[in-house]
Amino acid sequence: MKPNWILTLLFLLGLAAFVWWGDAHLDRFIWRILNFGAIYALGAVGYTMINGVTGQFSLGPHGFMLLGGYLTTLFMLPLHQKKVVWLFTPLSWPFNQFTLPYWGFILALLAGGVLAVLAALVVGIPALRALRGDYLAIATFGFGEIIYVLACNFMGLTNGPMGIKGIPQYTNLAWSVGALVVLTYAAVRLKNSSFGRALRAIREDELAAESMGINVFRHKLLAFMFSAFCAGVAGGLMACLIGTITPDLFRFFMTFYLLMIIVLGGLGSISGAVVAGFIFAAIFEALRFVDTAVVPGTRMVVFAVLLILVMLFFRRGLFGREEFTWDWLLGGAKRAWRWAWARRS
Amino acid sequence: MGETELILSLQNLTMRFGGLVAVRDFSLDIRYGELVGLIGPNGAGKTTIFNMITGHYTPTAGKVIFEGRDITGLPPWQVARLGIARTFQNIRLCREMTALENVLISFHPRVRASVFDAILPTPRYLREERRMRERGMELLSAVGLEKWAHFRAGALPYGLQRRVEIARALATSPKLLLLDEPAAGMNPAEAADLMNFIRGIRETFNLTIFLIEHVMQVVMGICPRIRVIDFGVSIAEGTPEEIKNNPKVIEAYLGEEALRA
Repeated sequence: MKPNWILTLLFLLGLAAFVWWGDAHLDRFIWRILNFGAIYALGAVGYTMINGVTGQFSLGPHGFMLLGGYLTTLFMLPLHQKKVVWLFTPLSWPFNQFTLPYWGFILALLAGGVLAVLAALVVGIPALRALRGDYLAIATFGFGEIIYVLACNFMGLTNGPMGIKGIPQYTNLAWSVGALVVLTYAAVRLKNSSFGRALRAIREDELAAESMGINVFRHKLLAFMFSAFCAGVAGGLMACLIGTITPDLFRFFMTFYLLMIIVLGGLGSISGAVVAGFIFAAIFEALRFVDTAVVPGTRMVVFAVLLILVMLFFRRGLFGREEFTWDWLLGGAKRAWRWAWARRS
Repeated sequence: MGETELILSLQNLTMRFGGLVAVRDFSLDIRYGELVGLIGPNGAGKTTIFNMITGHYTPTAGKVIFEGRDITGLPPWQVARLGIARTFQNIRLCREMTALENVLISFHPRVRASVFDAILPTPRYLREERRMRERGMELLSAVGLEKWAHFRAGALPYGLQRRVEIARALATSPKLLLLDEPAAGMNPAEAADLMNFIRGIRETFNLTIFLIEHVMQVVMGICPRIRVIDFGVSIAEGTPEEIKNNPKVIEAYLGEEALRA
């Protein structure tokens, strides 16, 4: 038990050192991919909490990401830029009055997360009470579409389909990896706590769980809110990484990406979601040449084929429902060493 | 018999599914500490009665009174918190979780720490979690399952799964335990074993037990009072001896074979 704790601490220190170094010296292309990886991973960690751990099929995270992305943008966009962007419809009060300096980024991200949680309450209270399975998927999908249409039409807040440009690019590895570490820690703690046991019990057998006195609705809502918070923060980080935001950035394909990530990582595995998030971002960039060589969008075909292969050969994803542990890694290393030692001649 | 002695009183329960009447005008009083058996042929409506007690169904008519309180139509999780626990005919364990985790699920409704306590985690939560695990192990030991605590529930043999399910129900600290065909799918030796086990937990945990059974010898051997239903209607009540010799029961339930035997 004790040595693992030390290993975790060493890993975090190493990670902090890498992030500190990477923000200053890393090749900008790789730096960008790592940022995207951390953001996808963050969205996926939340998403797997409701889809994987609790087993409630939601298709709405792109809506939550959109809300977080726009609110963060409205907080952080400089005043002079706000005057330039909203040409046709003036920006609504109170956002035309203020902008936050760099240190306010954390407040903006938190606000994005909280807005997403509020939206999760509005959708979740009716939907999670009455629906499950395919019906819940359709209801949450509908929510995502509604949010998209609203974003296109509330010109005074979103500048509509024209989007917003000139967002200060505050997101760096310190922010994206930092948020990922904090929320992954929270997710792992939640999953392994008594509350997480209740969530897993709901996935395994909802009827049995409620017969043991578990308020199934409240726990589903808890998982849904956690997933919305992660998605909201991820949306905010993404807007401040790309520097522009349009409603099209958060269409259904975003949920589809996250779904691929959590299936690839293993439904219900948080470490799986993190690892797969980075893998996804890397493959996504590596396949960019396919888009330029054939027609735009071809890489999604490649991804679909990859997903089918994963389903055929790793039905439970990279991690299944298990989590990464040092014991597993050390055990694997020991086995590999023994194997190599036995064949040294 | 005074009203206060009653733990459960079912008053004229009727359950209709469209045109089908699954249970008609079913009434039954159970006193504290009793062990009552409910028998009847397949499809007689036994499980429907359980589902009405636990809130999985809202009866079309009639009332469920538990400890003097009308609990008709309460959702299952509230009924469970009031002190009614159940097992299922086709074992419903969380198969991917360990036996101990299955038991810990039942403690969860009484966790006082908040989600934030659990995430941080605060000492208050850690204390509760440690206490829960201790009590979970105690409970598993009390039912002879401590060896299996860290096995995946779905990987345990059938008989043990049944016991884990009962242990999970006991972990809710019930006053009334509803067992739905606990001996289903067991051979006579296993069934006899299980009945001893049920007798044991009834004494240890000071329980009232209401039990559905299909295997006749089982229910005859353990329940001093038996109610028989057929097609949703009560047809007899009495001691095992009385039931065995009741012509209505023999006709409806035991059939011709029993008459010859």
